[in-house]
Amino acid sequence: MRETLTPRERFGLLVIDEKPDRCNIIPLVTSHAAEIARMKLKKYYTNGEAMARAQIAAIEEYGHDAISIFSEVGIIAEAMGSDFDYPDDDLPVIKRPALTKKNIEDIKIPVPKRDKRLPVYLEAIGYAYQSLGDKVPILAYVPAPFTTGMMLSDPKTFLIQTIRDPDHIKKIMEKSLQAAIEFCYDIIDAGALPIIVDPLASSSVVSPKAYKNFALPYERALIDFLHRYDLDIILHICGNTEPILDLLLETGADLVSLDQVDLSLAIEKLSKRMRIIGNFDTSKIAFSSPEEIMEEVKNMVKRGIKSKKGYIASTGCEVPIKTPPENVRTFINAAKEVGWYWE
Amino acid sequence: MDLDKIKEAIIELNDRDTKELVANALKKNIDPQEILEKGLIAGIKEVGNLFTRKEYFVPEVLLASEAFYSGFNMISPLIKSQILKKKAKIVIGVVGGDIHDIGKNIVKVLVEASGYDIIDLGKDVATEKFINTVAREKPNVLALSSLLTTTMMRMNDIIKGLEQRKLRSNIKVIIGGAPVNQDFAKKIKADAYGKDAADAVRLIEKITGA
Ligand code: B12
Repeated sequence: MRETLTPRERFGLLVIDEKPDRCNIIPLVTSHAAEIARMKLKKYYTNGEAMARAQIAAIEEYGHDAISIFSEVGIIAEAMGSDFDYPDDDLPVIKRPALTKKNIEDIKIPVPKRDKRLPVYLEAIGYAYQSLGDKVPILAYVPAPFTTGMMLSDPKTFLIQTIRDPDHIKKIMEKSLQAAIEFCYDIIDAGALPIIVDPLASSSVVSPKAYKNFALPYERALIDFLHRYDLDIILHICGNTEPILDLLLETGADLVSLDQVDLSLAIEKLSKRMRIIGNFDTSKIAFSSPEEIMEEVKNMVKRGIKSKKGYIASTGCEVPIKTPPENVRTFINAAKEVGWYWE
Repeated sequence: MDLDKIKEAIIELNDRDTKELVANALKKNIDPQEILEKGLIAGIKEVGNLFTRKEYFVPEVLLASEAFYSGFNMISPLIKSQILKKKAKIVIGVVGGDIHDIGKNIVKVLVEASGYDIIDLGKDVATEKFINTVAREKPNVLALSSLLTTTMMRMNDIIKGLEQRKLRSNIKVIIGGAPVNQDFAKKIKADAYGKDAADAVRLIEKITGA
């Protein structure tokens, strides 16, 4: 079968509920792009132009359907005062969380064009937009308030406070929400679509009740805000989300990107209202043989395209950095074999 | 009964009650060893089970561990001198470049609650630091955690480093974390792989014979 659309057109049809030629294929190629571009990780996450060049190199290599502007989920917390180290060959590592130094009241809302590495993302978006923006959608990953909150605090204290001191958590959430909104303004302005990521809200970490009280309301607030711009918003939660599938409907997200969950169950519960993105096991893409990947991705995509409101073939979370490129190509080829809507 | 109440208090995540109940039990001259095993440890083990069954999540386990320690700290000085010689010494940490420490912390709580002496090196721990700590502390078991495919090969580096420094034969190395598995353990010549915190305790018991 023949491809007739550009990635941008394909994404555009998906979000107006029209069937594109084939399903969008967007494995989450984030820092793995630095491998493709043979670039030190540190350069990738500290230099916007480098990040964009790596992303463009990955698109040229794989031909997947979107650019992913992302390094790690600490980005907003860092601009709010958490300290990170920048190893040459690893992602940034948190050293001193902001709330171990200051009270929440004293934490300032960052200026995205100025503070820490937020400008790296904005520059990367600008650069990618110049080169490929007309053909390929650009997704910029914005950590949701719950995840930022935990990166502002040390995780243990934060998690205990969800039970012991909910009012304090809510204060952290309000500030983190403001920061995320500011960042989103500039991301949209630069030409990307924000995708909200909230790994710490998954049931791998907190209970459905904690999700409902502390994560969901702020995911929803952020999504509501973005809806004013008439954007279709992706919510990505990696980890286990099976216990919170029903709650995800309440976030108002237009597309939902899932990791450890039975895809058919997710489709059954969510596909009346949401497009489903997912959910190939990231350990498998890194370690399985191309033959196994071919087989399993085909099975996944065959199930995925039954989703009523559409489906994006993707990995459950980002493609691990050292994944053999052969495996990513196999993922894409498998999805291209079976992911057709038009005859 | 007093000991059941202690166990309950831990399951209910209540550190104040736990402390009070332990103090009362001590006043009534209940054997500290009994308090530890049938009260505190029974409680935290049940919390471990609830976590495995996904009835409890990470925050609940962290609170339960606070409750556990609020009692444990009162009785450990009393039993150290008499019965409880620590069963074995364990060094635990998350490998370099990896900041996922939630799982490691849970493993630590259950291992410590099972009566082992545990040294926690934290997260993002340099390969050299693991090796130097083994050389200095001479633990029975080294427990390594990694959640990232990018950093898990550092477990291999650590084991190689132990071999080079002739430290490998005196220590058992166990590994865990989302992307690692039995095959990987074999490949890097670790002694065992554990899938969760309860498994970690089982492995250590088996390996050290205590
Ligand atoms: C929470 C989380 C985070 C948090 C971590 C906060 C913290 N302080 O720990 C944050 C948001 C910071 C984070 C960051 C990242 N994460 Co993350 N994260 C997760 C998530 C959703 C849950 C992990 C967790 O805490 N689980 C709960 C605990 C209780 O379980 P556990 O860790 O598995 O531990 C249990 C067992 O494994 C075992 N165990 C653990 N250690 C040991 C050791 C021994 C000796 C034994 C016997 C047993 C044992 O016992 C534990 C208790 O039962 C997982 C998803 C998943 N599938 O696990 C992704 C996941 C681990 N993250 C992933 C990624 C890619 C990242 C990032 C690189 C993303 C990014 N670009 O920012 C960064 C890495 C930053 C860094 N330098 O380390 C990937 C790893 C993929 C891969 N195979 O490499 C995962 C698997 C998501 C996915 N599906 O792809 N993450």
